[in-house]
Amino acid sequence: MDPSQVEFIAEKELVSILPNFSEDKLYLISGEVGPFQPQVAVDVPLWLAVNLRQRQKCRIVTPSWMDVEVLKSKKAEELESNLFTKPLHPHFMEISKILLGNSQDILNSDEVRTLVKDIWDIRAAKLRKSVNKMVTHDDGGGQLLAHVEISNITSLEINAIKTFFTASLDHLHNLRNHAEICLQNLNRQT
Amino acid sequence: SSGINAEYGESWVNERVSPYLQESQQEVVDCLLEQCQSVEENLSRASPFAVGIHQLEMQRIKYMATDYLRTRLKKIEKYTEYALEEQKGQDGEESVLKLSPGEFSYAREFHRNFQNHLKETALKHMPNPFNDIKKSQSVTAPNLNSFVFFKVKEDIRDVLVDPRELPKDLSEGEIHISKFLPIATLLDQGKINLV
Repeated sequence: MDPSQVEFIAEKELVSILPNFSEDKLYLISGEVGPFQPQVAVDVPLWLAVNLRQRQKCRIVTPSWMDVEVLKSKKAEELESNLFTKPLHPHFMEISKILLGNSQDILNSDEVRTLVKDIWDIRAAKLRKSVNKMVTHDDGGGQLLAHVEISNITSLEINAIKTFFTASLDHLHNLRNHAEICLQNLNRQT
Repeated sequence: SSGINAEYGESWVNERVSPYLQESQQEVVDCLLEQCQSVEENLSRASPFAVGIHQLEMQRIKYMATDYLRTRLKKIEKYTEYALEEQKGQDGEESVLKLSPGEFSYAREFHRNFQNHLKETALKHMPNPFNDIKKSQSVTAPNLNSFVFFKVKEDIRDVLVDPRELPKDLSEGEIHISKFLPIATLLDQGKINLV
């Protein structure tokens, strides 16, 4: 999948906005939205929120997980634990990138941006380590791992390593199977 | 219709990620496009504010639909013979047709044109034993043992994700990596989603 397609999917997530206009409920194909009253918070999909913001028709409310204190404690948690912790949001990177792009509404946008990037980097390092471990795994029988559980990982992170990682695993298994067949043939001949 | 939309989003990702064609969701695609059509017809009656939003949403839905169909067509073009053989072998009552009627006739046309192309440009000029396409050697089969990431939608017991190990229990919300073939039936049953 393209990263832009992962972002497309993330744009369906709901965010809270404060409209500055008044409108009735909208019956969209993907569900109902509204009604809109000035300064009354309402949940809308991200793509709609960004569009309204660009037309100067609303202000976006900072999501609860994009607060500096929450991010700092999440970063500490991520540093301590060896495994992946539950992510701030299944699409935290995409949403933070889109919202920080319209940074007038987000409080302390610079600090938030740095903290989100730090969390992303820590998780990426853990990902590299676990990929390494999985590929070089050897339980003594010379067998390759064909199954691993890896919860608490976000779609964007999966997408970043997916093509390379799955292709390498395919090749490794092919080579290993081929080697086994050759060994069996050898043993049969001698 | 928001339920259909959410489910369709998952089918789109499943189709993009899986190594081979999934069951055709043509009816869902047709339904969504029909809804777009009716929204377009009612657009003249909507307030100017709503018009822009409806148009934005329709563009998004149309993009998902066209990308879904494009991905399927690419797979059909890559594995034409394999898909046609599979479809032909499914004549019983329990048949799960992977290709929709439109895709099936497209596959047949494409196959015929491709064979003709090969014959005209190269095979015609070769000496006798070599101047026809040997069917059994020309089928490209998809690699159903390639690795995929998947997410578990409901608790499932006793799944054999790795034939060399014992069956495992999978709980909702977990993400796993494994070969495609052992979990293909779970995907068809809707118990897991590819990521």
